[in-house]
Amino acid sequence: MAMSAQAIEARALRKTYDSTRGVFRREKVTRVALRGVDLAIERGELFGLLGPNGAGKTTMVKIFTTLLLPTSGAATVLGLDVVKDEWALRRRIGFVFGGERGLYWRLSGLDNLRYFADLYRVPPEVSRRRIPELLERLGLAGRERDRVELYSRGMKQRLHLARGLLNDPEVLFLDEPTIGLDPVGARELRVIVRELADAGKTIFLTTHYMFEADAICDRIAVIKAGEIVAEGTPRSIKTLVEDQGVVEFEVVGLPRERLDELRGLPGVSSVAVAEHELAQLVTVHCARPSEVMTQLSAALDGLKLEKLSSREPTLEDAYVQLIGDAET
Amino acid sequence: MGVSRIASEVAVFARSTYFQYVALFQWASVRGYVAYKILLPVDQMLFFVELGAYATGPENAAYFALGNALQLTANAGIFGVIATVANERHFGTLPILLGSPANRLVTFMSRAVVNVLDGIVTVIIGFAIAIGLFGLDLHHANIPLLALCVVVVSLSTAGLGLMFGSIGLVMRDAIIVANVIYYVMLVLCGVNFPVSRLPGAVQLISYSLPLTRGVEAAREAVAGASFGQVAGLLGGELLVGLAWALAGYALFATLEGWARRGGMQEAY
Repeated sequence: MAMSAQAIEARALRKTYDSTRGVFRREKVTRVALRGVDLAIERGELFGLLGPNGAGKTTMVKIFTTLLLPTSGAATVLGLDVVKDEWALRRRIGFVFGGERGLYWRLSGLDNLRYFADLYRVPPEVSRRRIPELLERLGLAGRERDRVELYSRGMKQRLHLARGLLNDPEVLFLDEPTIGLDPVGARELRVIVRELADAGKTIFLTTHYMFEADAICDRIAVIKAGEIVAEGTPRSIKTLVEDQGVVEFEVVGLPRERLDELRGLPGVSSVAVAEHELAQLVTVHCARPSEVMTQLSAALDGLKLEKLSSREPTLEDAYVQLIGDAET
Repeated sequence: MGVSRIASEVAVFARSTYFQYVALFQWASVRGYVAYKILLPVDQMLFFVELGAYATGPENAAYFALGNALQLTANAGIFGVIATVANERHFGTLPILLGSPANRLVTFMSRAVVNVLDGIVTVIIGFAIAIGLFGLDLHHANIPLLALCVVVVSLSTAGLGLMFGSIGLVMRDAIIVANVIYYVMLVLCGVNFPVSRLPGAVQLISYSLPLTRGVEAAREAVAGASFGQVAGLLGGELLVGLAWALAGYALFATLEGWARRGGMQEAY
């Protein structure tokens, strides 16, 4: 199949996992992770893939990084087929998975980078220059001779990123790189990722933090149950719900039947409930928020509503709407 | 490829081997080494030598000590190699390794090399224990030949380790396989009693495993045999190890493809 020289491209990409269950009567179970995904990412783009857990984000990253074979369809990175050209491709890409694993904890940060540089066939004369540069750039200089087991989670994640950059990849895949980081550490990492994109690298980032995608991505796609349900700039995704408003309030002891009444109000498109300390935080996505606010008192008669307010929709609201739509 | 390029490749190979050893083995520290490489061997040898001497007479203690000292190569060659992949899985580094452009044969070899060296050191420790505690007499031994036997046995057991280490690519608890193989070798490889005491069909299994011919050759070397008298045994031992290593590499390549289809390198 001839495909254009986009940085990353997928056509009708499908992945299923087969497993068996049962001891005596073995039953084959097939789980569909990707259901024919089409995607095209330009060179130099910082592209964000958003989706809930199990939506297919990591499966897609693994296919693009040659760790996993698709069941059908085609995927290319830098014009190279991820199935047939894996050896050539591996030299030109980098990937980083979120979390603390994936490093040799008994080795120092410096020795980790030396070892991975060898694995990535980085010539010694290049790695001798590049490793100190990466340590400096990622704020690890001065701690490079400490064992990784002594590093904070944020330092480990920055070391992961340094490892992913050792071969100076043209395309970098980041699978939930800020997961588990404190707000400061996550912000520092986002700044670095944005700088890398500004320097010309193509970055494919998966996350389920909306503000992260909104803050740094040029373009995003939302994936739900193995299908892309929306794609565009963060601004264009937000316009999907621009005719909508959001009403929020706190309430104590909201019964399920009253919640159903709320969902039945005219103009209400979705209602989400989150436990917030002893109360429930209710978020209502609706058209004409002012009318809905007046109807709320009648619908929830007898319950004390607190912190009642309305606001403009955010990317997160658009995401919730998209994911909710996909579920129905 | 120029000489400097080859030298560079060798340096990278040596460095990777060293990093791999320190990164993946908990005995790569003084305390860990003493526990795994000295106390455990002493325990194993004490158990089998005392049991054997009790059952057959104290004059046979050296027989059991020699066999068990050589069996210690399996500790490095089999446990070591299998633990390499198991620990990669434990640390979550296996996907990074498999997603890298690293030459698989070189990676495969570097895993074996460090364990061969480790196996040789372990056997030397075992011999020291056998001589010091159990009266192993090497006065009549052909020491260079005995040393050669130790090297050959370390190579061949690492070959078997490579075979079963490959299973770690798709199996979470591959270390269980190491335990099974280790104890099978204790019984079948002539460590604690001659292979000729085993039923005929089981002897076939014995001679398809590394260690069996190596132990026989080493016993001959301790008795003062010449190289020519044991060359056939040592050649056979090497061939068995090589066959297991080649099968291991083929299995590694097959299972890597399998893991890629099923995403099993992430199934910690």
